[in-house]
Amino acid sequence: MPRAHEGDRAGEVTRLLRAARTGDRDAFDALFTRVYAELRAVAARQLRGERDGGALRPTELVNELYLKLAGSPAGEWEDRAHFYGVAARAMRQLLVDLARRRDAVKRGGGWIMTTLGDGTASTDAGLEEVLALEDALAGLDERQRQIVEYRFYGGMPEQEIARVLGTSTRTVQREWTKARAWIYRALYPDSGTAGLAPAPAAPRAGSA
Amino acid sequence: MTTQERRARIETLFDRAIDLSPGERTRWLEDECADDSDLHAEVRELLDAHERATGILDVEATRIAASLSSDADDAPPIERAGPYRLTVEIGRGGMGRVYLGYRDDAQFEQRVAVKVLHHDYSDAVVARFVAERQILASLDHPNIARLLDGGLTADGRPYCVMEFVDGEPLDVYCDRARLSIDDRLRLFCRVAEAVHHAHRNLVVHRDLKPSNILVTRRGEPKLLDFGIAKLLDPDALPNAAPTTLTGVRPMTPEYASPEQVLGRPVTTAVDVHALGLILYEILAGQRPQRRDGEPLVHLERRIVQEQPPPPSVAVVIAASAPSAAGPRAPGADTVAQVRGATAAQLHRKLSGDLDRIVLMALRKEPERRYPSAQGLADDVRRYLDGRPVRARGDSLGYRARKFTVRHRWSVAAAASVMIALSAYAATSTVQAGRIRRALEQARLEAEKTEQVTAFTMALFEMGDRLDARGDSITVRELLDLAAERAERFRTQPAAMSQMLDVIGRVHQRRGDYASAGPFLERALEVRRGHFGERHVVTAESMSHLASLLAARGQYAAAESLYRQALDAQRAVLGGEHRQIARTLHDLAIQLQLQGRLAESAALYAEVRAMQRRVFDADHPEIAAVTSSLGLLRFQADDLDEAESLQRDALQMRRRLLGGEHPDVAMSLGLLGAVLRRKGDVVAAESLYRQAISIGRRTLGDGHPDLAHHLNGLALVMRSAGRYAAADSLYRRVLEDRRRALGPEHPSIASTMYQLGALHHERGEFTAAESLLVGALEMRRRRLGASHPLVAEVEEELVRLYEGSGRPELARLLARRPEAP
Repeated sequence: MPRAHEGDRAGEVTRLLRAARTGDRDAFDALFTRVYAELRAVAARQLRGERDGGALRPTELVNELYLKLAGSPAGEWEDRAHFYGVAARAMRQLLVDLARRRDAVKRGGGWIMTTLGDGTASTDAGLEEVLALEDALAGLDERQRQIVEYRFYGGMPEQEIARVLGTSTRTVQREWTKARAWIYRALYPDSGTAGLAPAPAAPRAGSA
Repeated sequence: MTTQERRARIETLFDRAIDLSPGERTRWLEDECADDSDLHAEVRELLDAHERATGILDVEATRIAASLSSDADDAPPIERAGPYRLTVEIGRGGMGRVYLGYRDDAQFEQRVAVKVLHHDYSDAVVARFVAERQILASLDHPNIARLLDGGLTADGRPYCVMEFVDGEPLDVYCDRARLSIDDRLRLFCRVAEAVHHAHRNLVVHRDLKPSNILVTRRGEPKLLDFGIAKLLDPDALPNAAPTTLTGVRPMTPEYASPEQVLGRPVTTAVDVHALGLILYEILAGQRPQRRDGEPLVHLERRIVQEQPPPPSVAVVIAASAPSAAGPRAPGADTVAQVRGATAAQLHRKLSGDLDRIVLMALRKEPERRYPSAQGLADDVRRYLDGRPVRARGDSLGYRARKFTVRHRWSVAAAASVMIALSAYAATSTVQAGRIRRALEQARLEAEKTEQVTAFTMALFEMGDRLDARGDSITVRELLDLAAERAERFRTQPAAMSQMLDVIGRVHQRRGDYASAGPFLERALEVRRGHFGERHVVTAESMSHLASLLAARGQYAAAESLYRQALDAQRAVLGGEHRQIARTLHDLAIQLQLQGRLAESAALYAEVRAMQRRVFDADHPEIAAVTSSLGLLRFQADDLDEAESLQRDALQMRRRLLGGEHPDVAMSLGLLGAVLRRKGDVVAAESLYRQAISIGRRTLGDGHPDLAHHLNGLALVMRSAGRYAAADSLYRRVLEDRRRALGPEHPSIASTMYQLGALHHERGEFTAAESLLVGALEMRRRRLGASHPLVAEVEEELVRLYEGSGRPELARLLARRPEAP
């Protein structure tokens, strides 16, 4: 009986994925809720002292979640790709929620600028930066925002992002480069070239 | 300018600026923004931000989540473990941290490495830990870092104390010291012998990798962490909490053996396999089980199923396709250089014995590897001494036997399997061996496409049946079997439609358009029902059916279906996408075939522009559009441009697809057409003959695409005045086309027209008239009265009537086009 239950659930996730792919908003929400809950649970597990060994990379995490929820390692490529998108969105939301919860605690050390070696350095979370990044993302155009989500929050490789967006890896790289520059400008507005025109706020996409 | 336009302008300038050197950039940007200082400042700022932003967003989001949700931040550093004073942290791994320590109570200061674990273990586990430690401590070998001590810290964490080794990881050392291949082999032998010593003391390392093998300044290798992996194995320590989400055993996937991945019993053969990987890496400069951002399950599947390329091949692959070896992989020249050789020398050095030694150590089945680490070391020494080595390659028979077994659990896409099969559809009877090779090819394809369907399994069962019959099976039989299977998947519409689609396309590729139709129609119907009208998968089916309609000469119907596909794709995918570019191209071809050349030219311009943005460099799709455009220029009689486009397309296709490919044959034929029209019949004949021989091998006799080339050759023969040859070729083309396409088809009309014109030229008026009238009627019916190809036949007929003394018929015909 538990097996049957698992199977139903896996089938349900696949069904939701397909529905969400065709633009079904309710299906997306239902899926998002599940993925979000799982991500939260993982974060909580990290809290229980399994952190050193358990800091999964986003790519691994998303794959494990997919295995768990959809029940099969591969499935249709489009399903998996879409799942990436949902997971990336959920990860983004989780970071924001975690940061807001701890808003009172101020800590130094900017993770955004920390380039990590082979898992040897520790990361201090700058919760302000999580929230600042949200603001910066709002200033990107839709495609750049998607690329940042897939790549940063979802850990999706460039080639896969290109495939999902139906474009070249070169275009993905170029858009990522620009997105990063815009984000930097929004996060550190004072560090730019002083003396030139006053730095405007992060550019907003669209005039409407 | 709206904000949006301004932003787009900034980004365009930014894109172009970062391709320039910083020196050029300043000048260029000033010129570009000469009249807009605000714009200049904004681009400049963005460029500055770009320069500074290199480290930005490099951290993984998961770490931030972990860090944000962890209140018990980093545990405070530990200062003491038993009698050891811990100073600096020198390493951090999955299971704990490593400190540099000193023994307090010793007369002399002994530096040690202390590994402190972070788990809380139960008493029983600690007892086990202590017992195991005794065995490890007994390992006494100059090339094994000794386990000196161990116990529990004051707060109850297990720790172990090891000899501190001041050295570099094996791979780093080899490259920095620029060791030759022979010196690397000698060093490797000492490592393998140390491993053997441990095995004789019943200790398996389980986690050998270059970073666990340090080489001291004096060139002495020292193996670290012997047996530690076992102490940490959750199977060995049943009460320990799993360390990862799935509770997998601690191991480094890039150095894991198939049996570790499968969770099978670990023996000394695990270390032999890891030694093989290490040898591979220090010889070829590449990790055979490298993980390039792919999901863990993919790597694990590769570990279990795939034999890596021989090291000698790996160094060549690195040279030809740097991206395939991963962005951080060093180039072949660098790899060779630090081994004191050129890339070519390195390839030769590794070919043969060294390839065989490495691959024998890496065999998937533990019992087929070297029986011991010593056996591996001995074979390497035999090589160094110039004696024959024991390692042998797998026999052909062995590989063939293994094939079906491996495929039983291979993850493959039905589509790829069938498409690969169709490549072998040239002859009506295919040897079982060729099907095996096709399936092998399919498996490789499948790894890319990543789709599992039960259908795949069914196909592999078929493969078994082939084996049972042992002799031969026709592709047709195989397709009928597949169709029969597909019917069993009624409850899984997605899978079933996939199979129907594949079967239909294979029929189409074989030129059997009549059989293809029902499958493609049904696939579309199922997908419409299951996925809805506006879905990429449904759109895919529309395109496939449209392509069949086009092949059958139903251009207007094909056009309408392509337009539906385009609507669906645009609704789901947005404005720009590879799939959209492809559909636009298909649509442009339909317009071209209907004689709507101006519309078609406009679409080609759109497709070309989109392709430049959505493809990285060369791509078969780009070659295809180049070729279609060449045909368009040919139709417009711009022969120089047509020739240059066809040459580009041919060159690109040869480079991307290899010489033996139907598309290469198609390009040869199209180039032949241009040269014939330019009057170079000798070159044209040679091109068509090449096209025909490639077409014969890749498509098979009687295939409609092959008929194109034969028809082209007939035209050349006629231009050269070799009427008899032309006549017999035309008759054969007519026969082939009627058999494959039915009695009526635009291409049949073309051949009839050309043959009619040939008869006309030779004064055989009766034969000419009947063919030309037939062609005219067929073209009017299929293409519509206003199509330029209709006028072409009419003109020929008018000349025929005038020349054969029937001016009244000529006048009648000449008036017709003017009729409303």
